[in-house]
Amino acid sequence: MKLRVIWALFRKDFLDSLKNYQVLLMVLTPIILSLVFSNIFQESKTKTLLPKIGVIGSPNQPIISRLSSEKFGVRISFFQTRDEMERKIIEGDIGFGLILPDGFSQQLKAGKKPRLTVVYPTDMPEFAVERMQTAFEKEIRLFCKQPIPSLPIDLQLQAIGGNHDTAHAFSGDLFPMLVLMAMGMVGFLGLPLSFVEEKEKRTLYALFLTPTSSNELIIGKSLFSIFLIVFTVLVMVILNNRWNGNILYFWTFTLLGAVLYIFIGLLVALFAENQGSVNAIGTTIFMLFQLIPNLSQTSDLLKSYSAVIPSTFIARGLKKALFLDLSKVDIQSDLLIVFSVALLAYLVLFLCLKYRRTKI
Amino acid sequence: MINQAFVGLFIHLQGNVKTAIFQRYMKQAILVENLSKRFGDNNVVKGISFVVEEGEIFGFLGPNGAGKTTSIRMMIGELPYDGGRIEILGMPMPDERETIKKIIGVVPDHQNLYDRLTVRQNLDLFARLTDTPVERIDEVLALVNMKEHENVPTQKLSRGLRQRTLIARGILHKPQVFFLDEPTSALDPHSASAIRKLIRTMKHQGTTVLLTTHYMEEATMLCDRLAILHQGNIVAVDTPDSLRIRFGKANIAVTLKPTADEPEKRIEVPLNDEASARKIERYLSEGKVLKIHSQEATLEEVFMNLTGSQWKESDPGINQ
Repeated sequence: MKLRVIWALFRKDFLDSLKNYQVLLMVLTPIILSLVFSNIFQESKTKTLLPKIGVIGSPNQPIISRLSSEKFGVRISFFQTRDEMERKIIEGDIGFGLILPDGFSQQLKAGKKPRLTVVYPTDMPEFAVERMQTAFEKEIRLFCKQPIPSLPIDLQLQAIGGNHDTAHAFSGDLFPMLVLMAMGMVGFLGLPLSFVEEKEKRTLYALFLTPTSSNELIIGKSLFSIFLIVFTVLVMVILNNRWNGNILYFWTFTLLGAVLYIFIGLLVALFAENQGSVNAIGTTIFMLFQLIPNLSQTSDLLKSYSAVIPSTFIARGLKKALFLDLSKVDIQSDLLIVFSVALLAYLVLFLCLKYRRTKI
Repeated sequence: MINQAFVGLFIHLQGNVKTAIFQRYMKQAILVENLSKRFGDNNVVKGISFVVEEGEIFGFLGPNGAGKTTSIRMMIGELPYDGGRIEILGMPMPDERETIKKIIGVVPDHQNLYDRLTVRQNLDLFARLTDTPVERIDEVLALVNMKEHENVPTQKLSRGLRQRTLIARGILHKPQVFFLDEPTSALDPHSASAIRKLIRTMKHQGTTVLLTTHYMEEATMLCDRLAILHQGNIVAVDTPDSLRIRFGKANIAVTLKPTADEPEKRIEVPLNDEASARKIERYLSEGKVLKIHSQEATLEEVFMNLTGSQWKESDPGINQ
């Protein structure tokens, strides 16, 4: 294998990318999203975030003032009729609605038991309904100065395995997903599109006519994509100040993941007829690799599917490296799986390139 | 009779002597033997055989679909063949493909340059891939007269300039055997002429050239020898002159002196024909002949005679 050849291919892709707006788009998208998400889902905001609510009742009631206070942090819209409010809830303009009878606060102060009706859309997840109920119960108890009944047990909540304060923050949780996105954008879309562009313009044919081996071609074409992924992730890390966790493992998973994505991307490119088919196949794989690991906790079925999606182990490894105490979790097996799949992908790619290059 | 025999013999000898010299003193640059290729049910190349000698410009002449590009792709090792044998400078293809790649240059029938890169950047890439010193880039840029365009992205160049860049890329590593697939196709007369000059320069530098072309006149002007391909077969291989003699219907044009009754008159009679010979002999004995000369067949006529089909492509700027 000749480093001169690999460097020449890297240099060519680098120079070419400087004049290709698609590459800029691929690098900027995950970076911008990481900034947007970290800004929107800041810890202080995510802890108290409640949806906009609708109310039928007098705005002057003290309970309403309490709900709209900065502490509770919701925006309230008032409605005259239930139909009008329900329509807004169904259309998604407000999260849920409260129907307060006249004199609700006075009745409450007087120790009577007024009815408070909460209406919410049927598609609201169960856990959200429970959280909403708990929040209201707590606020009304505080409003009435009723102590919260003590539990017959000593309940303790303990977060375990974490090594960083931001582990609970939603923006932190999103970070591995955005790293996967950076890999997917370049690996499943950028690289195959560039490869197929070379097939369509037949520049690849010119490369094959030089004494360049299949190995040099794979590595040369991959190197620039690895550089792009690493560059994108590095900018994301710097801009979002994600230096927490185990840096060595984080970058090992990033690099191995990048290599795996790139090899799969090259396989897509090898069999895709044109840039349209790269978009179709690449986007499908991208979505599978992106969504299944991130939604695997929501159902047992998805969890079983996620075991055959390699990005599950990359995402898990990144999460462990960033947030968890590695003395208490097993990161090695995830690493071994990602490494094995990357190696397998390389072997398949090598054989395909060797036997398919005459058909390109 | 004597004149006819003399003219015929002279033309025949001219072609045969050239062929004989090639075969006696030159080494084989390309050897193709019983080469065949099939795509599904379509038999594209049907057992063709020929030899290209070192330093020769050898032309593949034929219309679209004759098998020219397929044959070249097999010779440069980019397409496996179904049967036969290919050797480049004595090395078998594809067994020695990697070695052969170092000594061949290729200009394909499509302009496959990196559009966003400049001329120099394109050449720089291929110089690095073929382990050619970077200084060579300046040499080839000067050779193809592209120095003033070296920093222009190739997508902004005219078709002719892009073709010159392709040739520069092909000769960058000083190949011993150079394959050009329709190098002047769809070029304006000026560009086509520049490309032909470059090909001649290559020959003078000792490079063996195999080129395919649609254009008969171009083949006649450039090639030492030609193979005419038709539907996957080589129907003839020889020097352009010999092809015209062997397969064309050459005529003798006789211009008769004007008489009191008739003005000067020109008649054409077929060469190698007893009746024609008697006719010319009679005119000569009667002292009627003003001028007599042979009129050779064109390659187009040769092609039509060999294949029975009409040539369709027209050639831009052949006389440049």
